Amino acid sequence: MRQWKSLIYILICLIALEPLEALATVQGTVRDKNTQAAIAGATVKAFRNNKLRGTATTQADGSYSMDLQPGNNYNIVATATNYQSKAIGAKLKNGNTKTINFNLLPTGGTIDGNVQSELGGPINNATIQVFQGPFLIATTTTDINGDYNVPNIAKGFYFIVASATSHRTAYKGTFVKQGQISTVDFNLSSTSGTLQGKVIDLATTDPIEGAFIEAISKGVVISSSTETDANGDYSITGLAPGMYSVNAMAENYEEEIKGAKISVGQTTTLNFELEQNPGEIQGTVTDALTTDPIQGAKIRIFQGTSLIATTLTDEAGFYSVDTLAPDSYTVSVIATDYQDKIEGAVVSAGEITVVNFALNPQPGTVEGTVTDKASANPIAGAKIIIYQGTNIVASTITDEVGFYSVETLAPGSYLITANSSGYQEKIEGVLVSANTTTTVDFKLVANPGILNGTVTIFGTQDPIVGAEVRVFKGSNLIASVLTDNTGFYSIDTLAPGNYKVVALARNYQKKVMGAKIVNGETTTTNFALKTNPGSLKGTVTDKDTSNPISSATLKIFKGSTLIATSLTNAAGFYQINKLPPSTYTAVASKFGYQDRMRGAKIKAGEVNTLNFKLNPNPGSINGTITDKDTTDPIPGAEVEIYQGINLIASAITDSLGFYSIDTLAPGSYIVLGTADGYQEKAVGATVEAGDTTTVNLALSSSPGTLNGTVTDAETLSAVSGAEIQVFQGTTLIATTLTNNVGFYEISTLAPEKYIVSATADGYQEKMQSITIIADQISTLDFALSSNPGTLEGTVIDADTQNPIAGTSIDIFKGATIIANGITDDEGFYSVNSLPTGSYILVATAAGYQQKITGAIITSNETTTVDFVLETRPGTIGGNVNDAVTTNPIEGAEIRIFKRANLIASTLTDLNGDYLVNFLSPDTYFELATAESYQGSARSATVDPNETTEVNFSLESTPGPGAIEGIITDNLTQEPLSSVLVQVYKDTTLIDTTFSGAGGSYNISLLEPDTYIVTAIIEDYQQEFATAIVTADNTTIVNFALDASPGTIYGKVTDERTTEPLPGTSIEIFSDGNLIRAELTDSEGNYLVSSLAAGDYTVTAINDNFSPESKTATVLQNQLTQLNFQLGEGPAPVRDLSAEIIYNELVTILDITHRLRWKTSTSPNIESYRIYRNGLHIYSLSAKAPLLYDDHGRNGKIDTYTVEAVNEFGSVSASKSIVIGK
Amino acid sequence: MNRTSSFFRILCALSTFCLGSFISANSSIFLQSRHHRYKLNKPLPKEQDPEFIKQVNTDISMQKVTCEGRVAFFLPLGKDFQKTYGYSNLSYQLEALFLLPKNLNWWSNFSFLHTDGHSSPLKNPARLDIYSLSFGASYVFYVFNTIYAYIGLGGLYSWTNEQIRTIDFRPYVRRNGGGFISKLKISREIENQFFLSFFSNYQLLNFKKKSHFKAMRVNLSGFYVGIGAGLIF
Repeated sequence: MRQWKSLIYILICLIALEPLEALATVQGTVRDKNTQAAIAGATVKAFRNNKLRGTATTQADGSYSMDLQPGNNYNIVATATNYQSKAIGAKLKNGNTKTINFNLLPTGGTIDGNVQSELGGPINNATIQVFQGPFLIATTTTDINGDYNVPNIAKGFYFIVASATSHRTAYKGTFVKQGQISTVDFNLSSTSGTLQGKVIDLATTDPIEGAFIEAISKGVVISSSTETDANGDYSITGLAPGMYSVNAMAENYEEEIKGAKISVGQTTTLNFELEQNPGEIQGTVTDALTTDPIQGAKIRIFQGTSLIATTLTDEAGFYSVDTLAPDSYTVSVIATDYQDKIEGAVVSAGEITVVNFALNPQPGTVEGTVTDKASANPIAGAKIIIYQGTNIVASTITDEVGFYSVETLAPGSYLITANSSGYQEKIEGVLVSANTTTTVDFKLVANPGILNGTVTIFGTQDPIVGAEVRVFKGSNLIASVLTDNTGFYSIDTLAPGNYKVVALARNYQKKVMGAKIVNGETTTTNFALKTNPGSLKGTVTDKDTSNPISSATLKIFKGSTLIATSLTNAAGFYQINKLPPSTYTAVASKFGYQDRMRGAKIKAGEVNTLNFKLNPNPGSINGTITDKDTTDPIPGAEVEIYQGINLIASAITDSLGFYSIDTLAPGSYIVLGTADGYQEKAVGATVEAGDTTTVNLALSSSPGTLNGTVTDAETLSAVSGAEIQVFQGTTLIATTLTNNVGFYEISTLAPEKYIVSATADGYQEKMQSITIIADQISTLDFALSSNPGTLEGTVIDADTQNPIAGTSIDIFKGATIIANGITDDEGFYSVNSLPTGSYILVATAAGYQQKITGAIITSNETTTVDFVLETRPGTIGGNVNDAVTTNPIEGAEIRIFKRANLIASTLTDLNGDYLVNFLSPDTYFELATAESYQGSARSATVDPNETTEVNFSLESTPGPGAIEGIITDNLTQEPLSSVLVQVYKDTTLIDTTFSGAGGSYNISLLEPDTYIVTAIIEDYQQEFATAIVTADNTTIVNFALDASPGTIYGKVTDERTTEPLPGTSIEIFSDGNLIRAELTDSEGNYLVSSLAAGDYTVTAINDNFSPESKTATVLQNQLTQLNFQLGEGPAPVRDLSAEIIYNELVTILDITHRLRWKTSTSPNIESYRIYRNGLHIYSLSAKAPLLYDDHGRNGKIDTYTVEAVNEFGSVSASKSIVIGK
Repeated sequence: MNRTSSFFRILCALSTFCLGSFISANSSIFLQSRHHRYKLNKPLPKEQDPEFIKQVNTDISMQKVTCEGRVAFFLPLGKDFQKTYGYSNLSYQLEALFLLPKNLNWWSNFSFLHTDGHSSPLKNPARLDIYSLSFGASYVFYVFNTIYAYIGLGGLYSWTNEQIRTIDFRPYVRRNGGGFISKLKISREIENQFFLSFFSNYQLLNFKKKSHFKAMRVNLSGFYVGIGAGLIF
């Protein structure tokens, strides 16, 4: 029992002690043995006694850790995908940490390497393809360091192809061994060149940062916006070989263009020295005082002490000097009459520096003398004060000779006063000009004296009030004054001296006296004036005509004494002056007139008017009165003489028909002769003074009379107010009107033949002829017919109110149609010349119901009759059937629309027929619908009284469609099975299937729509097709797939030296068309991939060698090798030179670039190709003189390239030259 | 060519000088003769009075409008013209004359000249057309019998069309400019409806046109010497 107790105790102790034993830790890393790269996700397991004791998984850094019971015989095993597992034994002690690192060996090999550019530096993103035989095994790209890595490559030989942009593709072979790394590095040769250089300031040679560089080839900007760095350096890489025009542009600098040749893999250096854009100085030159612009000011620009430019200001004072290099300048301005001025100016590139000048004018001088005005003696000590406005500018005193001078006066207007004791102050204005001396002399007037006196009547000594006293100095009026009530006058402002004093008074003769005025004293001068004589004036006129009588004699008598004589002028006017006031007798006389005498009273100083009207001497009229027809004298005829309407005199002819009337005043008269049985006759006659005027009259016998009546021809009623006109030939002789009973009479008609017309309102004119007999009454009656009337109106549609054109309007009188009218486009009709009366009108139009109405036509008036016509209805009928079976469809609904309005609807009967009546003529829209059928619409035109047939064949509602087809090999035409066929709608996959054994496929239940169908199978290129699926139809889409492409590669070498030829152009032609082109690399190798299986022609072209062509057959997914050995090409031209020639005509200046060169040293040169700025412009035969004139290059800079071409078409290396400006 | 040039220039100058001298001489001789007759003889019957005959003839000529076709040698004075197109070129003209009172005329003339030449110094073929319109007034002198002389002055405006004709460069250049022209003509009327004339004109046509690098001065000045025939309406 105690033993059991001890055993139990020991067991309890052992159990209690067990937890006190600490765990051991195993940790470490798992790495790739070759690369020492951490292996993440590797499994590390711990085994002891073949039992799994723990498991851990490595982290991203390859580390792992796990806790295990201490113990011996642990087996720690690391496993990782693509790596061989590895086991390491370990003993773990209590609480210890054991580090166990694993370096696992990969199960396959690795290919890695680096891709560098021949230009230097790694190539990022270069494509690496690993081929095993013709099969692509793996693809990767290089990182930024140009490194690549292709792990897990099975043991074997591989072909590695490296390709990169702007570089030639290269390939290398390598063996890959298990667990080993095969390093394959590439150094790709560039297919491009590099352009680099420096841009500096021409003047300072400082580098220009941020200058833009453009490389242009064949007119196309290849590279732009390349900017220079802080050192002015630039570099453009990746340029294809060839000639370039390179532009360098920088802000504030002029653009510079140069030519450059870029070669493969080479760096071309092109430096630019840019000239700064010039600056400009401009501004205005103005007057500092007036701010007016100064024209013609001379502007001079100095750089240091060197005169750079000179210009003049324009009329606005503006100047401008451009093309100034950026620098500091001194600007000076010189202007006439102004003070010079200088300013500094800093000119910046491309900017305008404004320098304005405000010039002060040169001062002027005022000088002069001050003298006594009367004696001209100089006045010394006179004070001269100069004002500008109200401000005193300067003052001075005259010297002993009266001279003064004031200098330094600014140009302008001034007032100058001169003062001296005993003289009156004098003010003068003066305009002072720049740099000139203005002379202002003063003649001062001494203080004045007084002149007074009286003006009286000569003889009586009575004062004359209001007499004017005028004072003259020479011929100048100095002063004037009027006498007061006592005849006294006084003038107190006269300067000392001698004056002429004149006294004037109305009706008095003026008097002139001299007066000497003494300084400050009074001089008295009195006048006694004599009274003025009178004058007589007037006109002498003809009393009858009031015409003036010239050269009439006027004699003035005092009693019987002739005092004066005068003659009238052409206007009959006379005037006789200096007649003493008195009473006279005036006599006017003129030959042909009777003398006339009048009294005249002449008043002192007045002009009296006396007019005369002289009677002319009388004349007489005589003559004979005869019969006009027989010329026999008519005794006893009465002759009357009228002046106007006044009977002046009369006489009776004697037995010989003679008459005479005397004592007629000269003038115009009317002589009227009358005799029984004759018509009176009047003529005009002019009687001259003292002459006899003969007036003979031939009298015509008395006239006849015409009368008659005018009646209505239809009603026989009298027509009053009718106008009767009597014509002799075309001359209207007489006119009259009929009275209220239609009667007319004309009683003064000479016996002749006349045409008589009768007209009246509402009647047609009528004319008749008649012969009038002397002293007899002739009767002529007229029966007038009334004027016709007019009928008009419009015809419109009763529904639409539209006018109806072409409507026939028949006009009936009883049963007889007497007229007809047709309406125009406006529905208007008009019928003229209708006799008055009642009519029946019938309107007839196609498609309308006929309409009848009555109308009354009134003379000379328009009767309006409008018609509104009703249309005749029509019918629509037809049949509705199945479009496929042609069976009638019963119950189909027919709906008829007029515009948007539903007019009628109906259903088809058992036979599918329908009918809709009473439709107004028009165009309708008809819609037929039926269940399980698609609706159909038609338009129908309904004509009056007609049935329009409209039939419908309805399509049944559609079902889904399908796509099917056959997929074949495009080369062999064999069907391809197991091809994946996918159907897309837009980008959504709709359905998928595989082709069967015969290459056929089918996809059904597709909604009608447009789909994209694609066929995919390994070793063939994927193809796409568009399929339009319609209802109930199957759309056929067949595919003929092309096999996957193949590759052509090879090497180009010199035929003579077997050296590789880098940069040789490889051109691939298919059926004569160039489809690809590549350049060989530095080893002369090339590779052209992605070629469809087929036959190709491959041509190798090198400028220095003759081209060579070969044919090759490319198989899908296979490499085809094609090597070339090229013979040499021609040598380039020699001594290329260029010159500018000014080729002149009369109006043309043609600037020509002439190129000259020497021939290529190679034989068989056939021609030379000439390029301008990269463009081929001419091919010159080798037999022609070796020069080329490029005309019309005015102002251009050109880069020319010349190449030699031999008879095989091989082209030499090019030679270039730049010329221009 | 130089000899030809000198010959034509001398011929032109001589013809112009002779025409002027001839007219002035005849006018003075005629006037002297008339005065001489008046001094020595009694007044002649009106039909024989030379003053009356002159007046009648002058009046006849003054009542008409004439149209004239001309052909003339153009003798250029410009060095560029001479170098490019030679020293004489044929010109064709149409001239209309409108007769005004007081022996004055208003004339208008259209002239056309076409010539071929070579540029200098490249000797490229060249072609030049000149179209000219001129207007002006002239004064007519009665010389004797039915012979009249005209002295005129007017303005001229010309359009040129020149082309350089290389194989691959054949641009047309059009320019125009104005100038002055003086005219001298002797004509003889035949049966009052037809007349023949000999004339010599001098035209001053020298204008400046901008070109690349420098301004081109186009000098088309020169003499026209030729004959014409026309109708009197």
